[in-house]
Amino acid sequence: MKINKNIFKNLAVAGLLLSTTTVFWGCTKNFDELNTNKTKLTTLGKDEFPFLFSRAQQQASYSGGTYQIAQNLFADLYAQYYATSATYFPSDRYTMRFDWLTGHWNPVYTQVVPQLKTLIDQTDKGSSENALANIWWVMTFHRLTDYYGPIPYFKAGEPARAVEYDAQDKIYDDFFKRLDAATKLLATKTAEKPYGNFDLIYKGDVNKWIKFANTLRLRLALRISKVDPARAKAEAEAAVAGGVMADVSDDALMVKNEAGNDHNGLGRIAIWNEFRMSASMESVLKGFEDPRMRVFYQPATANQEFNGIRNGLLPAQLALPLNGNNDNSNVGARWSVGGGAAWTSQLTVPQNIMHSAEAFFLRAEGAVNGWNMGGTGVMLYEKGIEMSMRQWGITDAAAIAAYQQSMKTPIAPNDQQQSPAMATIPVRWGSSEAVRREQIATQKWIGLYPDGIEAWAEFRRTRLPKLYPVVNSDNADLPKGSYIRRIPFLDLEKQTNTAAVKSAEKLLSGPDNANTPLWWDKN
Amino acid sequence: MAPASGFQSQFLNAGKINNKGIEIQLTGKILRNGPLSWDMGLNFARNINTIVELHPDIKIAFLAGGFGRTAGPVVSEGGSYGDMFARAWATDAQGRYVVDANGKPRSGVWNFDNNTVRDVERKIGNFNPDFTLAISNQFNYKNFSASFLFDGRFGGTMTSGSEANFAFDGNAAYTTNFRDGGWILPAVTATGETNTKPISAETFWTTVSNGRYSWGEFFTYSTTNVRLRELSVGYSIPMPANIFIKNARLSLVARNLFFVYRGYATLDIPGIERRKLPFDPDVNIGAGALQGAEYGNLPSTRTIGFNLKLGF
Repeated sequence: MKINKNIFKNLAVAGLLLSTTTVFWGCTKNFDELNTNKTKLTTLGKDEFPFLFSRAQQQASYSGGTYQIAQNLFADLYAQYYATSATYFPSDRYTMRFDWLTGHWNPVYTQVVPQLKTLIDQTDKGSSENALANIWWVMTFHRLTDYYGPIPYFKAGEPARAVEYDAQDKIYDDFFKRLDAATKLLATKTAEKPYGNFDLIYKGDVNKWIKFANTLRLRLALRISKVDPARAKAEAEAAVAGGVMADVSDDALMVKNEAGNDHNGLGRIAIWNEFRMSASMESVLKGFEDPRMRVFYQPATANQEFNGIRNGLLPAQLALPLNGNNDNSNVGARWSVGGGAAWTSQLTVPQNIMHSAEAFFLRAEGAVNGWNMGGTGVMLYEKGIEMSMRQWGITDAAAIAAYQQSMKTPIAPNDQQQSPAMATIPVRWGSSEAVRREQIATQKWIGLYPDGIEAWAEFRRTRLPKLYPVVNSDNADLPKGSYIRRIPFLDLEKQTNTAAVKSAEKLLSGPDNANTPLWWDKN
Repeated sequence: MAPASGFQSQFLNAGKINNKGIEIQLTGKILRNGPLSWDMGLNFARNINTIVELHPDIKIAFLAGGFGRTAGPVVSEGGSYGDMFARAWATDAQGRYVVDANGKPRSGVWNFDNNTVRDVERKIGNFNPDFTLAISNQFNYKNFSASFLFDGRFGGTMTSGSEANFAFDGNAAYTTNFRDGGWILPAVTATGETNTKPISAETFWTTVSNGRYSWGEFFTYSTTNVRLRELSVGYSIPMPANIFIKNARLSLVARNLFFVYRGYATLDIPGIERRKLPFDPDVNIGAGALQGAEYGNLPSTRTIGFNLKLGF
């Protein structure tokens, strides 16, 4: 009995050892092979580069429903292109929705940065592909930093649990360096077609990309014109000398697609009856009898008129007569067709990225600053208006000329709040510098439509046009009559990148709230 | 993960959760008197759950959706599985409710460093009960039998998105108080001054229900409840020995009949009568991570039926 027991015990131990060893072998022998997915890409090569560029372009521009939480519920409202008509959305009253804002943050860092970083690191430094990746990097990141100020930038895309934030002035400095290097490089590669048809904007047309990069450089130069006038002048003059967009044929529009949720974002979300034309736009466009009004918006279902509502209305105010969805104008038929509760999205309409009209308005402002912009303020201003009209299909030269010389001014929108006219300036070029600046800013605001991200940034810099204050602010940091200045650091970052966010607070000029100005905002 | 690394998430095999529980089942024959018998059963269960550790770099993790509209489940070291986080009414260092300059409640957490309110979610409850208790009774008398089961769930919370919507639209009965205004919340402003600003019910309820994105604490209820879970009365029909049916039994069975007790909202809003749990918390009790919140769930049902059982 006793002997038998011991034998069994020994056998059992031996068996255990045997099985352990076997499992051990099984685990390491073909470890890499077993853990390599045979149906998916695990390394990237030259063949994949064009796809990476397409993806980076698409994700940085917020396609489909992401457009709503990244842009439409924030910057588009703060730029007052639209006002919220849905009672259940609080962001128009400056309430921060950090969960939605991850839609602005995550696509950039997880769907654009890895792609562009691969291209920048793995393509030949002297190639046109490399230059395009750098230009798009700047395009992507200026739209990100202008929401928050400091962001993870120089170490973005490096695998780590924490990624430190960088100051906005350092980031802008890098923007200019990248654009300068890219445009110089592209000037020697004008016969090439980088990424070919996978470039969703210009199909690899290098000459167009040079103009795009210079226009972007000009945009960023004006952005810093109050905080660093000398650098701004130098960058702006270099951009104009290098050649900026000068005709609607230079305009940047991005191809959109039914497949893969690659929809035109504005078209996707405009059918939900959650926002309407702002009273600000109504006051200006109606007052100017602007032909672009019926392109940007469409008549209200209930009364077939163009009507807008004020930003920041309370749910109770939205329930009042004149403030309903059917009483006010949805976006134009370019994006959404229908009426009442039944709308159809126009999903494959190209997305507006950047336009020659903006280049002219930027140059006009530069000219008022006394910079060499290759033209006088009035000439560039009027050319900007012409380009904007033509961009939206308004080609009647006599009508454009009449508009340029019009003395009509914004009107009281006759809304439920009985708002006064938003401003007093006419279209016709004024005589004082202050009026001219307001006119340029107002026409650029119209010209940038529907890019609320850029329009909000420029409003913060210039405080022009003189937008209405929000009717109600539910944000304790933004008292009545104030305008939101930035998006505070995201909760997601506080949870996942805690120490880095904490140190980033020191890079701000005030507390981490929505009332602290960004580096370039000197108001 | 910090998305700025280029990665949003990583799979980790992590976490250590301790469960210490006790379940007691007692059955007793209370009465045996000729043809009459009475049996009773009692079941008590209690489980204490502690999250011992998650991961060296991750001390808190959000498990599922629900944030922004109701409440969301969160696991944190030292916490307990089933902890629910939501936006809640801010209180200052002395525990007094905080309102803004217009007398409206402020949501958030008091920051003791600089005496400001930070608008973040905090723990507002846990969806697991402290204990459950069930009592069953069975009576038999000759061919008749009767049984009933009381079921009790003690402790635990649930946040109701449906209630938030009712409050937002002014459909809930408790929104009728202060419809004409004059509601001065006994609270202080962020700078410590006593609130003097009157608000109306509409202002209060639209603020805390915040459209479809409610501040969860205001619509969180204790799920403590005791109910008559099942009642049945049966009769065994005597069968002659010579037919093919060996036995037959007819019974009336009713389930989920009524509540003996229901819990109340966890937050007592000054000026409003205590709000009783308005829904059956069973509507969202399951095995998933997102328990403890409901949003337009279908109500639970009461069933009453006859049951005829034949044996061959």
